[in-house]
Amino acid sequence: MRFANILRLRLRSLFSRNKVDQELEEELRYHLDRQIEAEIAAGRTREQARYAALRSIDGVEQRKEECRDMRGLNVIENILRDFRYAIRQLRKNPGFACATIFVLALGTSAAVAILGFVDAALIKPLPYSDQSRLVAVFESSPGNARSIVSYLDFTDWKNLNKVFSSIDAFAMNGGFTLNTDTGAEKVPGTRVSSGFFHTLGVTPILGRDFNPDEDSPTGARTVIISYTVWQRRFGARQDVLGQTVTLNEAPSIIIGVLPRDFHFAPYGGAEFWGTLRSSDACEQQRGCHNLM
Amino acid sequence: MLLSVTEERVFLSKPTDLIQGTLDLLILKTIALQPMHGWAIAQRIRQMSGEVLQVGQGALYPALHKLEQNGWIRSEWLVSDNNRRAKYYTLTKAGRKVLEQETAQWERLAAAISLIVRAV
Repeated sequence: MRFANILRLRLRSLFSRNKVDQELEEELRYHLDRQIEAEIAAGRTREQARYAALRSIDGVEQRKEECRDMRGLNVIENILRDFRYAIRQLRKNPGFACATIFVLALGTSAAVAILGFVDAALIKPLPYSDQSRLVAVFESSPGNARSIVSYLDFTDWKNLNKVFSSIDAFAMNGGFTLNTDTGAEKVPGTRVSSGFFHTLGVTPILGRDFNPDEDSPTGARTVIISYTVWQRRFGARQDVLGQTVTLNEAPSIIIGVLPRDFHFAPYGGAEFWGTLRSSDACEQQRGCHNLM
Repeated sequence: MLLSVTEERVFLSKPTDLIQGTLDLLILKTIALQPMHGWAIAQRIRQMSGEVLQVGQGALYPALHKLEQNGWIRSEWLVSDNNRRAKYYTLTKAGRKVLEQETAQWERLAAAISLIVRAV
């Protein structure tokens, strides 16, 4: 209640300035008149009384100014005046103004860029559920503290794992060749183990996630597409599920569409997500490190 | 100087923090009984202080406007005793609380100062 009242007064001081000033004028005049009356009552002539009263007040305009100060009006007015002054000065001196604005713009954009990076890398949480329990696992060897792993090592880790709720991998050698009506096209994407999205805590908004057997050599070749691709290549149609696309010369069935806000930094613009195949050439050699 | 003492009268003019605080207290106390306009407040302070304290306009009105902005007093235009419109100030609930605090504060301060001044 009190704060509402204070706010009302402040706004009134700011926006109905004329009225506030008039009231101030009237208030001070009332005081002056009473003072004159008092002086007359004390036995002075009208002229003397008026003079004495004015002297005792010592500058009506000054008093008004002090009252405005107290209402916090002058602060705002002075700021506006300074602002106008600054604009005038800058217009008088365009070269200096341009240099100043340029330097300010440069400084501001540098700060924004740095903040943007820090915000994305350090401040914002990862866009996955339970992000505090997600870790990246690497292989280490003398001279190479963080190395990616081969498919066979990955399957061994997965089978022997007692530490993590789940281990999944994505291929570092991503990218597909997509056969389209107009010919073959390179499209961004990668292959992942079947539990990949489940481990990240991401559920497709349309269709389903990979089945556990879909990264085995005998499993059906299936593919999950990104939201953008669904919108752009498939016109956001519901019947996109079950359609067949030819990726790297192998027909694959589209089984799901990822949420719009899904983002996986190592494959930022990935359009197609296929599954790992133990039958692929690299996947059969323990020395072929291609997974993370 | 904030306090000018002439012929055993204390004239409150240019307020500094200490005197301003004291003047606030005097104003709050004066209007605690009934709504008053600025002129009457100055007169009442003069009478109550035994003609010693004279509140100049230059201190009174800024103080009133500040107290109003703080939400401690409220103003309204009423017809005064000489049949003219005058701005009357009333103590608000928050103002009453401040008055109590300031009174206690003043009593502590006055007691402390007199302890020092009267020490032999």
